[in-house]
Amino acid sequence: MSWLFTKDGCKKCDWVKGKIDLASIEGLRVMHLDGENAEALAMLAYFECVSLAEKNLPILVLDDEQVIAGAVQIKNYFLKTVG
Amino acid sequence: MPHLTAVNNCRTEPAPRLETTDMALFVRTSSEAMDGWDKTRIVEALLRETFVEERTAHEISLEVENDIKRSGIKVITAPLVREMVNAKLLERGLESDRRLHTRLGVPLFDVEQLITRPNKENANVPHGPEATNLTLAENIKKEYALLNVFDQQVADAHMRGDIHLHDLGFVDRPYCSGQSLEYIKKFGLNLPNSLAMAKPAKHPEVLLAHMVKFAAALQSHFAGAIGWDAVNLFFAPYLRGLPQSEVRQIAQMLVFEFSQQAVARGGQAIFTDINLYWEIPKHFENVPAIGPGGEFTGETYSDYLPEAQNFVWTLFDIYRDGDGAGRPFFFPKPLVHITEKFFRTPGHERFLHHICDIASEKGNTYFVFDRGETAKISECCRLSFKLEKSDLDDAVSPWKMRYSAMQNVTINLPRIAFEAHGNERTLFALLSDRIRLAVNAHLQKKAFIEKLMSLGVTGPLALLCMNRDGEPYLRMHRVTYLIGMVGLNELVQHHTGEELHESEAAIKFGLKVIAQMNLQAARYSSLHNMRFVLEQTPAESTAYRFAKLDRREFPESLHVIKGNPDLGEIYYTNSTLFNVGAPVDPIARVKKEGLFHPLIEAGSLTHVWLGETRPNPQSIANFVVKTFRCTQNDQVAFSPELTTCVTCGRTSRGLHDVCLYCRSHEVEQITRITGYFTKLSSWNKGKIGELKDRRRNVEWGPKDSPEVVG
Repeated sequence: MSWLFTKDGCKKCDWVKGKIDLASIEGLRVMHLDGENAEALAMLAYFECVSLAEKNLPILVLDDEQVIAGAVQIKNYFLKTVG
Repeated sequence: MPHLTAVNNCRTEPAPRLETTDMALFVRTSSEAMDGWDKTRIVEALLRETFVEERTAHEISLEVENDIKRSGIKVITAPLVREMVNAKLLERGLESDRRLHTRLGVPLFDVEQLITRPNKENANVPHGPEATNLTLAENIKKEYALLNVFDQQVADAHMRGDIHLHDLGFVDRPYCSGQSLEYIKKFGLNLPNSLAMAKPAKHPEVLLAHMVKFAAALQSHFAGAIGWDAVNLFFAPYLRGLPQSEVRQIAQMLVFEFSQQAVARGGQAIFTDINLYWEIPKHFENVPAIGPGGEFTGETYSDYLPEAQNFVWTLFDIYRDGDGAGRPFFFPKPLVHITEKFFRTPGHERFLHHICDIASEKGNTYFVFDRGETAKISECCRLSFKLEKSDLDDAVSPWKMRYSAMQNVTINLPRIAFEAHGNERTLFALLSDRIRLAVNAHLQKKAFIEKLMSLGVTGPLALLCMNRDGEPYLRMHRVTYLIGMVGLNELVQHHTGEELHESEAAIKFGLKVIAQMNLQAARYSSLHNMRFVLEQTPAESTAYRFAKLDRREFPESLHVIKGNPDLGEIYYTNSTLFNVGAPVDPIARVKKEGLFHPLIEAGSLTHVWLGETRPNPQSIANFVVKTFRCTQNDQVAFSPELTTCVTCGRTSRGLHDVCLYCRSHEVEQITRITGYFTKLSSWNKGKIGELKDRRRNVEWGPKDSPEVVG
């Protein structure tokens, strides 16, 4: 399973969502970081990305826990792996 | 004893003109006098202190008088009369008036116990007359706080053990404080109520004297730790040109002055932290330096790098030597900040080796990790004040950089799991409710402190109101309100069936609990325009208290409570730490415990228990670098165990009941309790239980044979 961390009001997050049909990607869980979602924050901490998320969203964590940060990099990754 | 003599006389020779009761009955009042009986005193007190009707007050006074007459008692104390009146109020259903009429005090038995036996709530309080005074005063103020500062809901939650309000005995002051030497360098020592004011120091010895005295004054106005930022850097302008022997003398004086301050409040050493840097912190690079006489030297702090580095190196030379018996210094705690710039500063490898040598030998060094652009002031057992943009802007006038925590309220996490009975929704609802209670407690404490502050320089918090730089010393807008936690490990264990170290699922659930706390604290911060932040509670006594209370109320707690119930040595695991006895190697512990740290803004720490082991300094250095580069861990400390012989004065590695050299039984065993070193003889039962369970990392280095270190 891979995890995509996004946030409301994050333009780069919206950009990725606009470019990629996230719902069609198998095994991808999209986590929205907001003031209510403890599970999303917990998983962000589990992947050691809390500090990174303060300055760089969206963040994609792959199933081998490799971290990809930044909208363009994430879009390219998805285009390369899922077409 | 003139009053007692009068009583004895009166018992046998009552004055003839008084009515029966007045003639025979004398009241030992709280003003140390023997007064004749006068029931109107009861009426006056009720009208002054409560809201009862005058007629009711008269009725009560008459009833109490009749009860006393019937009892045949000849001498009665004012506290007993008050309790009799309180019983009458209760009979009438006047509970709120009874609360207002409460008399605060300590039972005779308890006073006897306190005077003759040590108090082990805080291992940093010795046993002596001053400590007894401190404890007695604390007890009265605790009662006052629970009746008069906090509402009943909060007070009851504390009494039940749902939450713990820390330092209730110091309710009339904030919790901890971190500050800058620049304040006394610039303004001298000019304290309210002081008999003399001192101009800014011209010599390093005087600056040190000012620092120590100011710390003592601050200890009287804060409940807990007194931290100092960038001490080696701010001393540097005073050290330029001094021969090394004098620099060493200043370093030695600094460490000894703070470690031997067990003559201050309650005979208690000032819990002091000194923040130290090998590099010039980025936010101080271009700041004009203040030198002797409080004058700007014309240079910036960057120009004082050699002096600052030499001073911090020398300070650690002192720590390495230890005290007169070779023991580690308990205070001041040296906190070395490890930053990206640290690794870019020449000589850092040698310095890291030096401080790791002391970490291995004596355990003093705390490694504080400031990754990225993070900067903070650390203090207490692990508390830290993360510097924000506005704080870094303040760095141009560093005397303004003073930060305080108002209070610490800790949540009993295992209890939430017991009450939730395995239902996750209920568990998180209960957690929310406890956080709401903690926030209410903070709002009430804040209101109380603001009331005291409003009395200004003639009030009880004159020192915190003093205004030397355009704002009060206590900068309320920069105060934080701490929400702590105890027993995350036991909450997870009860709810999921696994302890934190036992599975990734357990860690994820634990993270969800702390994430919920983090988010809720942020929401309350926004709502109240206050800074509610999480802190890993050191829980020196709270982990014991919660376990004791839960053992009584929740039989299921026995499955998760740690320690030895047969000996009463029970405890919950501190804050978000893993089971101290879990078979987790140090780097895995540092990494996994560190997952929680970014969610706990006000400070976290991982302990590495060394036992008798003395790792190679290079191994520790590698460990520190790896921790900085490969984990999210906030702070690490290495804790050796030592035994000092009172008879022969020698110190050996490990905890022993007899001196390994002279076989004397008069020994003092020493190691780190939560975030500081103490003698085991002052530890409470819960901590003794934890000590027995601690997994020493003996495999990390060759186990040295015991040898003299002092």
